[in-house]
Amino acid sequence: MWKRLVGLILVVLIAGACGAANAAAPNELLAAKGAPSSLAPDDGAWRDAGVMTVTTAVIAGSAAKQGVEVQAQALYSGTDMWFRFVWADPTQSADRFWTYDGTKWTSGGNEDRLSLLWEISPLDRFQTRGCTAACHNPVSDPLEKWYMVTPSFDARGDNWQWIAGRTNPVGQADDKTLVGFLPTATSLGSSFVNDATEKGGSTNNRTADGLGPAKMQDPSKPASAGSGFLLASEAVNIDVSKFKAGDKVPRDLLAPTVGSRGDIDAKGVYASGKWTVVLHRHLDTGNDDDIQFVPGRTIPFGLAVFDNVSGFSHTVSGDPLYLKFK
Amino acid sequence: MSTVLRWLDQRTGWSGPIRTIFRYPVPAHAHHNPLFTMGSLLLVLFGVQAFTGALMAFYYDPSPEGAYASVDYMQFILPFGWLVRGVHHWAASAMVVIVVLHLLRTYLYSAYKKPRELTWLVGVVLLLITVSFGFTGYLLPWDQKGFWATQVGTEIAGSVPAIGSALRDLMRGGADMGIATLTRFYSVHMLLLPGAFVVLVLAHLALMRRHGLAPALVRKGEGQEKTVPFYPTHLAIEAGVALVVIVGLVVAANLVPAPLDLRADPTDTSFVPRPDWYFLFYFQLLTYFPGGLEAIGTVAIPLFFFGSLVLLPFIDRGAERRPWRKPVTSVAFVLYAVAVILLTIRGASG
Repeated sequence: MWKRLVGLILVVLIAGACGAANAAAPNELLAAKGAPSSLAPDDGAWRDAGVMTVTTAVIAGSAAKQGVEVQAQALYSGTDMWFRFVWADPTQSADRFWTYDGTKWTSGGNEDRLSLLWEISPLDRFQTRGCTAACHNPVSDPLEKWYMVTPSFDARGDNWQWIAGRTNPVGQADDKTLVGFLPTATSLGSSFVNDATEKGGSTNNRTADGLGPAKMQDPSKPASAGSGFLLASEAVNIDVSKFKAGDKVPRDLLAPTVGSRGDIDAKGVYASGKWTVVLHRHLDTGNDDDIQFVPGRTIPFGLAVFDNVSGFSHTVSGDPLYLKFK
Repeated sequence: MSTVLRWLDQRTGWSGPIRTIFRYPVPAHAHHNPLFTMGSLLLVLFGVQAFTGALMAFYYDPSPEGAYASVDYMQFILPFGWLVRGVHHWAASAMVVIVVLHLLRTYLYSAYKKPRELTWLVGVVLLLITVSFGFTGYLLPWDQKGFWATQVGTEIAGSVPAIGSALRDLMRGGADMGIATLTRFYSVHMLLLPGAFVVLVLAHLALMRRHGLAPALVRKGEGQEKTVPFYPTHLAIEAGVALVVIVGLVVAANLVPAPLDLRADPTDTSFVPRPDWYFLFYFQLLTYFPGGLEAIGTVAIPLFFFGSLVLLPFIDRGAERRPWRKPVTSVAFVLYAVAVILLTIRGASG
């Protein structure tokens, strides 16, 4: 009889343990075990990953008219983490150019962007209120007072910005830190500081007086990042005589960043009216300005989509989102 | 080795009490019935809890600012911290299961009857202490689940007529939950409850040794029957059961790590509190007594439940020990068990 009881106790313990495993809630991104062989959006590994669908909300002061439905997936291995985001966007925007009118240059153009916010150190109420608690002051405040800042001086958030025109061509997302103070109190988004950079990084393509581009594509080299993008490694000093009215030159000198700021690999593909963006990072970067992913943890995060903008105007996940691990 | 032990024995006389303990004759029916290993299994589980709890105390920070981070560190960063915490988590549940099985065995064998009334009463208090371990330990990670379950738990205490608010404030260390609540729960969980548990277990064992184990059910009264020595015959069985359970705890900790919810947010009133599984029946029960009827659920029914357990040996005083010959207590037992199981199931699915 005692053997049967011992067996029963084991069965109850194991069944209880198995039963405690829970399925993903609507705002939970359940990372599956798996490793894509590349950052290609159609890599077969994504078939095994569950999909979280989140609709972003329009925030006060934003020029956006409506939210965006974003489908998110996550995969992880023993050392690495991948994310895949898909959202509809009727226009592919990555057109930051200087335009020449025959006598002078004017700058313009916007781009699409995806932004993620994670905790580095605890952000008060971020885990239960999401972005609305963490990085936005009350939406009732007038627009000129808008800024993003963490809830307390010592609280830091990890902000990833995949930008269609400036980071995507070099295969990266911009890794920043959201801090709890405003270095420049009047500028929107000024509490974002860049993560540590060893070398590289994109810069503005403009002359010292800011009236026009400083560089152009080396005529002897193909534009390896694609037409409309200018890599610093393929740029030469501009020769205005080669341009006629209506010609365009990219506003940014693109270069991959080496250092903590550049530790997120990214690939975004626009097709059939949709962006598909894959992000990759090591679980643990060893940098104190990054979130470190530890399988098992429930990790709150926020998500924002920028559509054809150059400023802060965006839609944001209103409810908190949670990354969990299978 | 034997020289060292002899030297120690000559000076301390330790072998006397040890021999007394190990020479204990175990009735054959108890030796062959696994339900009679539940008591010693509880002792082993308490030892597991004391050991894993002490290890966690090395790293735990009992403050609202630091508690969550320290538990998170244990769970996700500290080597084998997940295992220690996981075993502690699953052993807490196992203790509740085993203490209930132990109580059921005692009930079914009518082991509460004369002369074992005090043994039974001490056991009932030990049952209360065991679930109190769960209640106080639930808050310590300072996560959403623990915070809001404790908020509700202390509110329930606050609904007791006349003394409710004083009781709630005593538990919380003030009107609201905060650092005083956490340090109180930590102190009670780490010091008062283990101390009381050890003292009462010693008393329980002393009473058990004085009156012996309950006789077999096949006859009235306490006749003579065959026995086996506690050491090594019965101890081998108990050690085997304990080993299997400990392995089961390690397996459970591996399969499903101890949960850690999000950091507590005292301003998040949208959180739906959920107690640990062994309190689900009580939470479900309270939903049937809203508003002015609340005191029935919070005071009257628990008092009746535990009051009946306390009074049982003084109500059921006949010589008959066989459950099938004691319909009143047996039916009451079945009703209690069915009610608790149904309420737990409803609470879990609600």
